[in-house]
Amino acid sequence: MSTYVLVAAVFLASCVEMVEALTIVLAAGTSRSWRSALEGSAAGIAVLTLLVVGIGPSLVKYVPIGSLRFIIGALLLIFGLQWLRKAILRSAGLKAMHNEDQIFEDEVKRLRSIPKSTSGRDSTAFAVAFKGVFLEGLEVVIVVLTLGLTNHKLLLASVSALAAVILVGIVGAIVSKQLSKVPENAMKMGVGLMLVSFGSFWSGEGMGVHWPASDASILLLLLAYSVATALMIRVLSWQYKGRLTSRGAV
Amino acid sequence: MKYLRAFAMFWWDFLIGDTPEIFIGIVVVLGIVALLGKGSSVQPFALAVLVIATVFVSVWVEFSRKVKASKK
Repeated sequence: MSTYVLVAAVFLASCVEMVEALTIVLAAGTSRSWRSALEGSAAGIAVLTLLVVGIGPSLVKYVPIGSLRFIIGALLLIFGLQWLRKAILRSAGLKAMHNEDQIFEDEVKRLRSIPKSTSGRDSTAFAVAFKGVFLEGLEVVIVVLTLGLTNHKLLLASVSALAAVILVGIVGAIVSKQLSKVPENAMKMGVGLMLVSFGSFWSGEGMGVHWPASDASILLLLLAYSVATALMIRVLSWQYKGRLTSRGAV
Repeated sequence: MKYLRAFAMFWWDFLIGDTPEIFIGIVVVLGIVALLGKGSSVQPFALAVLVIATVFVSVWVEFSRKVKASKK
């Protein structure tokens, strides 16, 4: 069962990050040069793939599995809690939703103001697309490596991430600029919950915690964290609206 | 040196960034769970409850900040 959760976590995390990367690539392609933007994206994906292939197997070979699980679990906890915190704050109305359309417009405006080079390749479009794909993709690489290595399913995690990249690429090409329609916050919350569940489980395993339901404990953790998150959103949104209303700000 | 600095900055942003309370919280949570003793039946529950407490503290910090800002 935890395999399904792993695939879902990697797939959703990759989708969220790739939507953000796609916004940048679309902006670079629309305002500068499609060829250079696509070349930059391909170069970014190639470097990320090399990172997974280069780092993954060596970590398994040289680091004891107990230590690896503890370190990876702690990393997943920190990473997952950051995502979850952001999603809770957005759902409770304490933080503005991520607006891909606005980001796209701003990026296009900024890129159009940079003079184009006279030679064949547009270095600005290439660099912007490469940086966008690489930086957003680094988080995906970390999720793939951490979840893939602790579960001994690096290949499955990589394929899941690749499927997300292809899906977002195809959908992005079809819908073009309507990226704001993607329910990014809900996806971010789902990924955050899954990462925190895996992080708790693996850091616990690394410390010798005896989980009462073995691997199925991941699902129990997911359920407990989901309930706690829903409660937190309720309480925060109610408290925040209440305080603003009492002050006449709304 | 430039790349080393960039590498260190990446990990700083990744682990701490603008939410140092999460990093500190997790270090404290894992420390407490380790102190409870290997194989203790309380460990799994303590871990889950303390993780929930960490995210609650972090969102509450932001909540207080927002409320304070709206007062001005």
